[in-house]
Amino acid sequence: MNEKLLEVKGVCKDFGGLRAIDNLEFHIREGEIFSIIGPNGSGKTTLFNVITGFYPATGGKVIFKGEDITNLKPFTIAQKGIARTFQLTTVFTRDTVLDNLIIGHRLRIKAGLVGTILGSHSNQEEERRCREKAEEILEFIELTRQKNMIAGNLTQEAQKRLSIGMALATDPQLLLLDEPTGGVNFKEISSLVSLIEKIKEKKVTICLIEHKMKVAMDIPDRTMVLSYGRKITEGSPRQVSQDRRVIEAYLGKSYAA
Amino acid sequence: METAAKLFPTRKLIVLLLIIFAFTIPFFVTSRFILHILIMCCIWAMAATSMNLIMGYTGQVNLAHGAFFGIGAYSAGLLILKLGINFWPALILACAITVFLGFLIGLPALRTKGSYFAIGTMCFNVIVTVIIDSWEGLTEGARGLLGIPRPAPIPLPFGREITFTSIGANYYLILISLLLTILIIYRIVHSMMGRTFMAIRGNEELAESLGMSAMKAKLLSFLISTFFAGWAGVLYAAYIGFLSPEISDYHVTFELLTFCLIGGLGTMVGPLIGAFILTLTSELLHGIAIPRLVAYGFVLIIIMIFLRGGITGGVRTLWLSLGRKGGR
Repeated sequence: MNEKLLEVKGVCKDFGGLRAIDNLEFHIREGEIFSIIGPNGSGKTTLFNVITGFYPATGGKVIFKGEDITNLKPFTIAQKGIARTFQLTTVFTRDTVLDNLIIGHRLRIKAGLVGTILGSHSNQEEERRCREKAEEILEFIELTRQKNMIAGNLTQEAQKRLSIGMALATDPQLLLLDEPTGGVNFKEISSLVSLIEKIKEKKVTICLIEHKMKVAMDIPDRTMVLSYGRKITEGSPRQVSQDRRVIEAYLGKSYAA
Repeated sequence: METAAKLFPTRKLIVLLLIIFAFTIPFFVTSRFILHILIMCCIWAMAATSMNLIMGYTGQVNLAHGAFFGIGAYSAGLLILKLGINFWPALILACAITVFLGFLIGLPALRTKGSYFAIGTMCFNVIVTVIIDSWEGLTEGARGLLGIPRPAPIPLPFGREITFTSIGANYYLILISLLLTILIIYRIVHSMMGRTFMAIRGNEELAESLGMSAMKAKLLSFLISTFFAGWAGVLYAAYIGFLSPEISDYHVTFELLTFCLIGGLGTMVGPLIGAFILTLTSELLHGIAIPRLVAYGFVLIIIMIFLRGGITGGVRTLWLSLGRKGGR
């Protein structure tokens, strides 16, 4: 339970002269929900992009299950067991919900050229496995009724569910959620929260970026606060919310007294 | 769902009837002219179908397809004429050469995206034509390659053989090649591999985050499509018997592009419909003095404005609006 699943060691990320992430050190333990909060532009999404290989790190190391994964390609990192969602909800808008989930499991099969052309038995078996996975996830994210709908026509909340489902279809050990409740109305938040808690029960470690207080206070086991690319503090949500430096970062010096 | 289930067998039946019809044509059509037109339709349909894989299904606008058609044709012509290789090994070698050059070009070109990829591949197309035109020592330049023989006979047991001297035999060879192309591309499109290609088309970044290597998938799709372009080129070379640099020109690319767009990009039948209709009309209207590319231009503009999905897309919309609820 307390084993370090992901370790970030002194990671830096520069965009030209701007240091978006500055010598960041933290770790995520296996089985927990870890949240990252911070004012706009504090480097949260940049951090996700560095961990998942979308941006190369300027310095430092990212270690996953004891293995150095710094600057590997995004698809390699996904294959190693880190899945992510994006801030702007991203699904394959022209495909059906089921098709979206089927392709989510693609990385766990081979789908070789010769087998594809000959329509070999093993290839059909692989496709069947992807379909089974998709059906399983469909039930888990409670979109069974919308199975054959075109993903682009779903509500924002359902698209969020679907994007989380696609990430889950990759069989990850660590799931990075970038604002899972962003752009969703207040009533629908609780259903996403219960989905996140359900994922935790499945023994998937979760790291999330969150703005909404209800979510940021209630679900995480531990919270890290970023400001201008630096870690201000880390601890339980309650602890963190009382921290003077955090209040200062969000509201300015005069409120921090 | 139920309508789709009911529709499926009828669709299979229609395809089967069409194939049988295609095979019986030489029995009642004796006109060499009509058979010639049908052969040209099949060759262009093959090239357009292969272009559809990279462009329609993988979403990469490859404007070098005509070059690969030309490379296949010239490789076969040169192998047969200059090295005296038999047609069948030359066919395989020419396809291999096309794929190899496709690999060399695909590796750098596929690093670019969207319109940059389109421009990059189009430049490659122009370069290929210029090389074929000016490397007179090898390709005879603008004079062209003359006298490429028809496919060599295939020996059968008991001293018999299949010859390709008659136009009917050539028709069958090219028809079977087309059907094979369609079958293989159909298999690919309707498999997990095809799903991967379409995921790249939908959103490359998302596909990468789900563990798919976009480069690998795009390169694979590109190489498969160049393979069939090369194959179609070889068949063209052996059937027509004469090659000039224009066969690799970017005009050919745009003609193939037009076939795909008018028929319906990203559908199995689209490129076939486009290739057959446009080849038929342009061959039959040979006497009328409308410059063909100008006419294509107008048709394309109309299709782009009123019928974005091409003929296939139009028919599908019509079908859905007719059948009240409509299956897929």
